[in-house]
Amino acid sequence: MPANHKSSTLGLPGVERSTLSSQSARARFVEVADRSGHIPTPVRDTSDAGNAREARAVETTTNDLDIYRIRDDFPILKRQIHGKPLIYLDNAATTQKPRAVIDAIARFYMQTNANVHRGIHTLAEEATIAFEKTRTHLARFLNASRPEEIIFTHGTTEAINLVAASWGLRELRPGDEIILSELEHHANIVPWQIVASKTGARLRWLPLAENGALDIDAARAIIGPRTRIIAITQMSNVLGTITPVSDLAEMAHKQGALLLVDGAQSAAHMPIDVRALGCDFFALSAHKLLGPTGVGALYGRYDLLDAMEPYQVGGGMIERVTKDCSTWAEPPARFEAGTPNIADVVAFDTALDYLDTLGMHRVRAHDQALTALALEHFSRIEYLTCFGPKVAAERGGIFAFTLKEVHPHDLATFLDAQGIAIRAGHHCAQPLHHRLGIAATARASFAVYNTAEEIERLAEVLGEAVLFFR
Amino acid sequence: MLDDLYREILRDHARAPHHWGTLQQADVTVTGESPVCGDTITLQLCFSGGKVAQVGFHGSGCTISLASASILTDMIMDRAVETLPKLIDAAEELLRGTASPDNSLGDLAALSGVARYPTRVRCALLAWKALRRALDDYTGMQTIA
Repeated sequence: MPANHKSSTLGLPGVERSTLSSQSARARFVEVADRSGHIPTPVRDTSDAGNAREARAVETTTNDLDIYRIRDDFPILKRQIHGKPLIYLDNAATTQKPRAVIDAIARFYMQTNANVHRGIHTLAEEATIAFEKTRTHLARFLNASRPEEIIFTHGTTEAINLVAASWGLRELRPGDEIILSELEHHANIVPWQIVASKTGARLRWLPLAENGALDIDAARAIIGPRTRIIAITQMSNVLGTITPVSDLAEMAHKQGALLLVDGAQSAAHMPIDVRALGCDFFALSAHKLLGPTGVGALYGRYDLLDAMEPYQVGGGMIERVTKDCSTWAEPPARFEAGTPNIADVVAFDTALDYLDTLGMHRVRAHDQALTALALEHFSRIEYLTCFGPKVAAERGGIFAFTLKEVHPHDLATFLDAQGIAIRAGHHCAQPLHHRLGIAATARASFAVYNTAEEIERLAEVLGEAVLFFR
Repeated sequence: MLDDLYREILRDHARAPHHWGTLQQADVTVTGESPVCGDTITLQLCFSGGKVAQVGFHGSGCTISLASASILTDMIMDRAVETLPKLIDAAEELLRGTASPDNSLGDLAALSGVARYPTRVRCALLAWKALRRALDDYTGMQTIA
């Protein structure tokens, strides 16, 4: 019977840890037994860079992701930082890329590079097909009803700006209400402030409950007949809070209002079904989804897009241009002026393939397991205040925290010296930090290639930071 | 590696900053804020006979920003106002790593390691930028008066 160690079980039932001595420095095979003594698939543990630490067990359940195999797909994870293995915990800022995505960019430029939508020759046709393949794939990934509901942008920020400019500036009147929340990233605040000042519409704010969740009762009181749009994050980039988007969609639609969802974080952490959610717009960033930077997308209900004026204008989004006036192409072309970020959109398709292979429900399960582990570790570190919901199911693997009397900057530099990458600051969420009453936080955020061991190492080094700075 | 940046002298300054607090009366008050991280330093100065007669600062920030501000206040006390712009230039060069530390900069030499951490240079510069603005405000007021 394997020894039952007192370390956490990731909140997964029916699994116990066991330890075995290491077989080699490079690759150690760790066997994990469940309560009955049955040993499922061996899991290779290669995450230590040759040290004498005891082999740690890794919990598995059936249907689990092989994280160590996944890590092999990400070349950058082999890097050393200040002589230590890289522990990359800044995934809310951007994610690392699998080799297949990196290769896809190079392959495009080596074999099929041409401008899209305009050419007749073979390369142009191939490039266009590859480009449109991503659009169709993303539509499927989000369960949109047609590919034309996907508009490619530079990122989530541009996607939200597009809706604010194209829909907001045109549709809103004095006294109309735009509803945001205290959780929002500046990208989902500032555009609406501009819209409000230009149209006379009014901004209102859905407040947070004490644990960092949205106060849904307060929301009910605020959403009303003057509401024209609710713009809300599905997962906070600071607290990890998952908001009740479907409930908000219902409340919005009851008032004849629209719902825009900032999915920059959520799209990477869970399966998204825009129709089931009931949102009218959904914004995301490819680079937070293992894809390249410079690419994002806006999902919009087709009838809404069809009624919207363009955001940027120029080539590719027109039907007819005369000296006096121009007419617009249909969506999505209407909203894609100029030459897009073709190679990176094409490579985004490869990232989506990668995620499809993993399965977003498994990605979510892994995220929740790491979240539960982190919550447990953080609760045991003296002087550490962790913000956001304390229940793993209510949040994603994004953690803002403070260490008493240790400024987040100093903490981030200290962790960096140990190869651990986190973020420090207000994470483009000043109103949220003001609401929490703090100037700045440190933030650790997980992705599918992070391991339980990395979280344990983070906890260890946080303990060391306390000693160093206090 | 961290000892390079977080020398004991800096941690002392950050734990118990010199000239900490609000002045009853100040000729000039300037607040420097970092939009990136939320560090904020408010610098207050009193002048007399062409020299810095009193200085105070308060705010919230990381070890580097607080230490840099504390050291700054030590360095400018009793100094002639017209020497300050050159002092600020020298400090900025040291912190950015474009000049090597020399004896004239006293405790500020302890911050010379910051130059090797580009993301932290901004922290160290916060108080010095505030000082530059304070001097601009002061000379501006002098011209009007």
